[in-house]
Amino acid sequence: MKSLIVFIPENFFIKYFVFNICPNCSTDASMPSGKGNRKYELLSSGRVRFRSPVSSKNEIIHLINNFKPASAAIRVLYGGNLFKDVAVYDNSTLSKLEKLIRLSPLDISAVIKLIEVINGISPATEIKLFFETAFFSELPAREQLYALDNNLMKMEIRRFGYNGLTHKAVIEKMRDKNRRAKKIISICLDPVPEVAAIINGKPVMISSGATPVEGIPGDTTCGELDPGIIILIEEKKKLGAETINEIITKKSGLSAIAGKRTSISDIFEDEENNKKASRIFKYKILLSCGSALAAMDGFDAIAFSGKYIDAAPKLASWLISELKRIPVKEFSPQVFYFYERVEEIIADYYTVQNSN
Amino acid sequence: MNIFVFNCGSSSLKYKMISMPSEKELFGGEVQRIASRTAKPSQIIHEADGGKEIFVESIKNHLEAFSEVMKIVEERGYAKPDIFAHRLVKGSKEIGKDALLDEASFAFLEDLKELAPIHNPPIIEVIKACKEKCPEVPQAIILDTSFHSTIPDYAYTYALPKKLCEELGIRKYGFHGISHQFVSEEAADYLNIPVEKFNAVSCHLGSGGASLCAIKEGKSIDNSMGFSPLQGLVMSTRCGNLDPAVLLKMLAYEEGDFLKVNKILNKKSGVLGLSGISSDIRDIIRAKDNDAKSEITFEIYLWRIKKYLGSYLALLGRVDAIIFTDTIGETVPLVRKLVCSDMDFFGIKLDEMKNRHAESYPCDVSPPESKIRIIVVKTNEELSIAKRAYQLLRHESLLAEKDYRS
Repeated sequence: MKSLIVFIPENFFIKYFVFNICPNCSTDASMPSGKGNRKYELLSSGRVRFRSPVSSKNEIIHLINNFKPASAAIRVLYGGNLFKDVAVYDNSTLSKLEKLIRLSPLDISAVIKLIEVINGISPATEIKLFFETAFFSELPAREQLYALDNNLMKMEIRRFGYNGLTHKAVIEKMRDKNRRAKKIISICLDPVPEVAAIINGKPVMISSGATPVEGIPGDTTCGELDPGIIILIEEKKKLGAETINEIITKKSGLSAIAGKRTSISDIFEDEENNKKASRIFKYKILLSCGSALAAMDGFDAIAFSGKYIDAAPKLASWLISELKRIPVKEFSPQVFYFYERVEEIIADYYTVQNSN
Repeated sequence: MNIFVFNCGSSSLKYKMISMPSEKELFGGEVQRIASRTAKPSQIIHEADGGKEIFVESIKNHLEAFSEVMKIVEERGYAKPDIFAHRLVKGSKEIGKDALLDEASFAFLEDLKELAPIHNPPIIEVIKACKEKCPEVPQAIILDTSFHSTIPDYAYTYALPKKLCEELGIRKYGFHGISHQFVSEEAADYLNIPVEKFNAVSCHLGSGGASLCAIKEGKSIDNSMGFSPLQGLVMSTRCGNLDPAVLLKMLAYEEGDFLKVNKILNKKSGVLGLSGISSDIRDIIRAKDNDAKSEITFEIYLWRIKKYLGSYLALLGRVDAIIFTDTIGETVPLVRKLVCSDMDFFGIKLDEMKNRHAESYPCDVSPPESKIRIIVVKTNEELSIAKRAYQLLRHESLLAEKDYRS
């Protein structure tokens, strides 16, 4: 039996999931959407802290030696315009990754280090890279571009989506379930949430921007901001780009509104005590859905996914009631919930690719 | 009473002498394309007694524009105004509402410049020039943000640390309020709907700045501009929405030179930044068939409007009208047509013939079967400013009378 190890690098640690790949690990049709008919089973999971480069390296070496995976899959947040699909690691992949360091330094550097460790201990292990931005690489130019003169900045600035693996999996699963749903609003309820408008499997609108910070406020990310505010903060407080980045990515969002560490899940569990955060979050979701409706001229279905999927039914019920206020001909949008986590989505892709 | 209204846009200076309370316009005009990179030079269009004169000049800034306007006024021997009234784009704690300027408030004017770096500085310069020219004539400022004071907290709050927001006054203020209020009242009146029951999305599409406003029961509930007039739509030289992390990259790239970044975002972005040829979307429309960059610039310009329109239609639910106004909204039928196309889901339909021939305002360019009326309204911010300045004066004189009696 082959095994696969999936790595999800995050801010301060790398999550890992070891799967056994087997043709029919689970065929439980009563499981929630996406949980049945699996060709893999979870053997082990955990996380490696970035305490120090040496200790993290040793922990990863221990993992590889212990499970001896045939393949390793790494989730990469940013692939820019260079990675439009899953990539198998080789020298040309490395050279492309190196070109991206300038644009996404923390994410790409961590991925390259991880690859070096895996390659060092087990050169035979096949490494595949799964890029969150790949699904959005062909976003239409009108949605992709900011109203900037890119020549001025000497850098490639464009809008991506950042939960592409999830949105893509959602669309593929929906295609299996309901072929008539052509226009889909896909709402990923992750710590950095995202709304995408997808027509016939292709994204046409996305709430995120060049980074996941833009768009809907997340657990600790600010979401949409007037550009003048950043200028004002720098002018008045002279904090510098790094400190402001720390504020808008780690000290803002729903937590800043609630005044305490808060997640999307928390605000829906206790809306009474999180009234303002809940109202702001729902408001931004509604505005994004309105943009999606304009982008697609309507919709057939709404799909919810992400880490905080448990909050989705409450949000869905509110959102549908709001959208039903639009006085158009009777419509009954279908609502889908997807419970697969990103590591399971990667394992799914992996098994499908390897069985083809 | 004659009120001389000055309305500084980012690249224009509109002026009007209005007699109140009759609301009769004695003369008026507009200095267009001030210091802007467009295919056409600056010009002054002066209108009086049903006639129109056009002067082509090279005008480098708003102060020069003001001088040229005053020359025209003096040469024609018009009567002196009783009061000057100015649109102020954004106020401060000290000047936070419509006000008559006294010596104390003059001292705070300089502080207002940085709050709206494109608009407020020329307005302040024009106010000072008026004082120098006619020191005995009082001046009033009318705030563009007042109409948006009804935006609810969940719409005006940014998801940033509360302390930082309080310290720096960070929140959505919204802009173009004078225009959005004026055109929504005109449209409600035209459709014979009481303004307090009127729901609309107002599209103020100027040749410089542009914004959309969601209006519920006659009140603003959201505006595409935010803390400053930089957020929102793609404008002539302003970027509109931008990922905050991109801005940090720009700041790092420019080694923390926020003034340079601010200049790029305010003066070298938008239609000009994308196209590289002009800041005027009308030039881009003319060039788009033979120039790929112009074609995509126009697409992005329209797309951003459509997305905001969709957001506000979803927010409002029942909508009586979509209103198009200001230079582009009133005079470019193609923009109206493309913004309203492929919006069947919302029940929006546009009558192409009516749209092409919309010349007398207000007018409805939608067919009877459209669920939402599409109304083109000629904005008249100057009249709105004059009305509010007149109310202010009446209020002040009533207070003075009350004080005298007591």
